[in-house]
Amino acid sequence: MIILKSRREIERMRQAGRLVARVLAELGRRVRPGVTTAELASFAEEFIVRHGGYPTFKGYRGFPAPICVAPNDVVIHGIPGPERLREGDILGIDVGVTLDGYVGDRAHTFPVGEVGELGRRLLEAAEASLAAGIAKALPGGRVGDIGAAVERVAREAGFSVVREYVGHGVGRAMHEEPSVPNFGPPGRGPLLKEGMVIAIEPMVNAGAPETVTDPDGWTVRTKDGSLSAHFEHTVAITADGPEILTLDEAV
Amino acid sequence: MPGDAPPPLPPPGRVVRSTAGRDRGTMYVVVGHEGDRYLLVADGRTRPARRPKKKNRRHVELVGWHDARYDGHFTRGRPPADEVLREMLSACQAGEGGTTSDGAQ
Repeated sequence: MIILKSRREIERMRQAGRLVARVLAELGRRVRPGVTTAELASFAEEFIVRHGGYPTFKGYRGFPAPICVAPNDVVIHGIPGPERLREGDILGIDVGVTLDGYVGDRAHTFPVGEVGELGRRLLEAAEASLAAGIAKALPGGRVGDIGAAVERVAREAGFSVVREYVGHGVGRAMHEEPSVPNFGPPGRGPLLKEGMVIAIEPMVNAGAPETVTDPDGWTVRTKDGSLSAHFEHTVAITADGPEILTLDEAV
Repeated sequence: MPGDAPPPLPPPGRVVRSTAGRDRGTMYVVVGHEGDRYLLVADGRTRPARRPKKKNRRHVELVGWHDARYDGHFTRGRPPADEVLREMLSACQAGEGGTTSDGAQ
């Protein structure tokens, strides 16, 4: 069941989204060679709690950390640890915050220092694919319009999109209906309506789209070891078009 | 945090049981898909393959029966013969042949 949100609910989700944006901005300032992903996670949790929120991912289906990290060939769901970031890495960070009962969810992939040509192109294409998907989050459209736009941009840049994991509705729960795939034909899937709030989140691989999961049961990597980038925003569908909720004017 | 993609629709040639609607409990063979949500199902009797019933994926369960000998009937780009569907459903209900490795969806 797709849960439509009232204006008041969307305002509360905007607050959660702003906090997510602030956390990610702070984390982005701390992403540099030598830093461990555990240090980033520790900072994020403290920041979220200090601002009245709760890190949504912590404990979700047993996930053991407040944020997900995804260095290089990790696509999603990586668990922060003692590994130090190195010059030239790329690092995806996925942050979820529950504030006043509502969830904000956003991911961004950062370059660590200077990255190579392939990494730079991948980040640009993945972020552009997210923008293309958001532009299709219009009342009267279909969920498939979003995935088709995302996939087109990624493929035109020579990359592939992951198919085993998808975007989703967001609200009081992190994962609500509908599923929002990053692929497929336009004009298919549930009708987009004013009041829907969805997370659009392309996972773009430099190589093939297939993934494998580590023995920890969480960390998802590209099967061929290629780089992967993940960008995400929580977006409200309004009569005036898409509104990105996970932005902060102050950042 | 991304969610898991929904499981793919059962491919043509698999047997499903209706779990909702007036036909609840009726078994059908999947003969096609409409979008990513609907199955086109037929039983070769009340629902011939050329006039399949449209069922929401949520309103059926996958029956743990599959017989690869019938797969060729579903790869020719045209509906299988109704007698093939009837034979499959009879075999499934009698527990003949096939495998039961799929489990319910």
